Amino acid sequence: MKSRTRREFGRLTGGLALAALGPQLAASETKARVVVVGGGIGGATAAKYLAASARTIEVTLVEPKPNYTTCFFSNLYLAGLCSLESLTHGYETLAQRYGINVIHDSVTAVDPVAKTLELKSGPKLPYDRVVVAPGIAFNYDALAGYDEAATQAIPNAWNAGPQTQLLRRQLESMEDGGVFLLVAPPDPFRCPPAPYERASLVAYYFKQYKPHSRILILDAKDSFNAQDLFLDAWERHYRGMIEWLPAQFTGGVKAIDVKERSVRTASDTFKAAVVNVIPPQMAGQFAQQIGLVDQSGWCPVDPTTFESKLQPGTHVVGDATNAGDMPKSAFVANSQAKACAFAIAATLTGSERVPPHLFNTCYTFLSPDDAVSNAVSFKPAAGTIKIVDNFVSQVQESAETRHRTAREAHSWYAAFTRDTFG
Amino acid sequence: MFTPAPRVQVPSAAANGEVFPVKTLISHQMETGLRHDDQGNAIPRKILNKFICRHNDVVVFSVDLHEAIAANPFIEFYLRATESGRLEFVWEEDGGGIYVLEHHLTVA
Amino acid sequence: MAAASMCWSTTSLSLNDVVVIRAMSKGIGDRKFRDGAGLSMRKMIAVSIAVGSFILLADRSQAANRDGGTQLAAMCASCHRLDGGDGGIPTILGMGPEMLTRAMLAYRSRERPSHIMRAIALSLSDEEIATVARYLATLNK
Repeated sequence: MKSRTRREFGRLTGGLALAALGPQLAASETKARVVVVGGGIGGATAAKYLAASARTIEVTLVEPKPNYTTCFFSNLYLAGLCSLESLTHGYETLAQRYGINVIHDSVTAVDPVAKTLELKSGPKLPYDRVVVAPGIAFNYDALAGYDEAATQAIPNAWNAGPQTQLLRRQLESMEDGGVFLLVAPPDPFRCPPAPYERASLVAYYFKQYKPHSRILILDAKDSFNAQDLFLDAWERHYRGMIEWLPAQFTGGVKAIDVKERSVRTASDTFKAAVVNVIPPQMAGQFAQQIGLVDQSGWCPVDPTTFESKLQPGTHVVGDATNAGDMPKSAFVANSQAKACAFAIAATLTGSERVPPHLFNTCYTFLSPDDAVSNAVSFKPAAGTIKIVDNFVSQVQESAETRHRTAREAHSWYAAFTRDTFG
Repeated sequence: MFTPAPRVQVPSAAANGEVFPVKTLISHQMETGLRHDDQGNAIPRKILNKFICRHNDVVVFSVDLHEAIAANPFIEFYLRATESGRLEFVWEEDGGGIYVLEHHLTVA
Repeated sequence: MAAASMCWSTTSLSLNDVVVIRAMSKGIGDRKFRDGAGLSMRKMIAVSIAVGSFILLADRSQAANRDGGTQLAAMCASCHRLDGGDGGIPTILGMGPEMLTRAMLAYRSRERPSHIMRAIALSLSDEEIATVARYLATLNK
């Protein structure tokens, strides 16, 4: 038994040193098969780190789209500060450099007993472990008059891509003096500071090109992430341009009138030139379809391995998880995916399992030269995940510090997307 | 440039004796005077220090506000409808600034 | 697989065993490399550098990996490019383990300002800091 271990280990490390050199050197032994479903941040990171951590694991990534546009930094695009192409990443490096089998297809069914996935195009994929990273779905039931079809007139722009482009076009063609109305969702939702970053950067755009325009945020909440930092910045950069109405004042958003371009709350009706409705959210449709979602609307997972609590052998990472204190952010998806990949690799190769280090960092732009960041560490505790330390930028920081943070944010983007997509 | 108006939610008509809610919200930084700028100088205090609601010039509700009140103060209270007339909502700011909203209430 | 896992978590494995395994794996690697591609050792290093962050996984420091160096360094890779690329976020390559350790401890104690690095440093034990510093130092040799 011991000699077998040695042999395996030798093969593993020998393989690792050569892993970059190409598939022609692949060992001939039967490999463990891991299929990753979903090529967003969580899925791509999981696939890369699985492929990288053990030569004896064969990794397949199933994602219908040919490339991925990041939601993070897409508010800069809305403000006209970058192109959508610069936020778009392909899977070529994952396939070529890391030997991941990238399949552009959809999974239609999962058989967790036979351990096979069925692809839309027909074939079945056998697996030893599956990692599901389905992202978010929108709960359209919560807002009367707003559904998938309505997004063609009133975008949600919460998955980066055509929806973001539509909102940008609407903002560009809006006349000066108009109102941009943003409906902010209830917790939990993808990227807690993002609706308010969006308001900030759209205000930056208005200030330059449409200075008589203003922004109204109708919130489903009574307070929001980093509120003091945002209110301070709005006062400094965009005085009088952004108004935020909490749910306790409006009674909450009840209905959307697409034709009238208006939003009805419990007490009033607000008409606007451009409306962006960010609907309430839940785990991605695929997770719902294959039974990974509990009554919370999200996927309960083991806090160290991210194995589904509802379906052994299936792991879930990213926004779709209910991961205790961890927010739904790209950084969290990346952090969870690494922990998950290392846990699966340890199980499949019999190597030692190390405790996961879970972390979140968010960079938020208040203006192009004024950015803030936070840093939160987490640890698994009592079956869930708890915050250990939580640090955030301070209101009274100097302009120089904020400028430095903005520059740092851009280089973080470069490093982070490289870490994820290769 | 547009300045966010103070906002009030109050019915335009009420039955005699009816108790109705009033919700008010105003965008205001509520600068506490306890913070310092980059150079270490104290930022002067500028808060809304008082909110008053009058009905036909009679104070029916008032509240003193202090440094610990968060930015954008939200105030909700209840009134009983007795007679038609003018409701006046007043926010008083450090340094003498005031913000006023008026509303007509019809009591049937 | 389960048996292999047990072997690694028990203390019955002696230091000698580890050394033997290391030597063996290195031998396999070199031989396969030469046989398969016919490149020199120098070129192999060049290839390793060219493939960028795969260096992270090409596990040159066996000892560092055994105590979780790879996994810890993966945390760094979310912000710091481990392929030598640079930008607003300082590179963490090209430093010795002592310098990296000193820097981490300085962030932890707030001697160096950065709330992100402070949170990271606080989340790591002294031992983990030493491990990741050792590991990172092997990446640019």
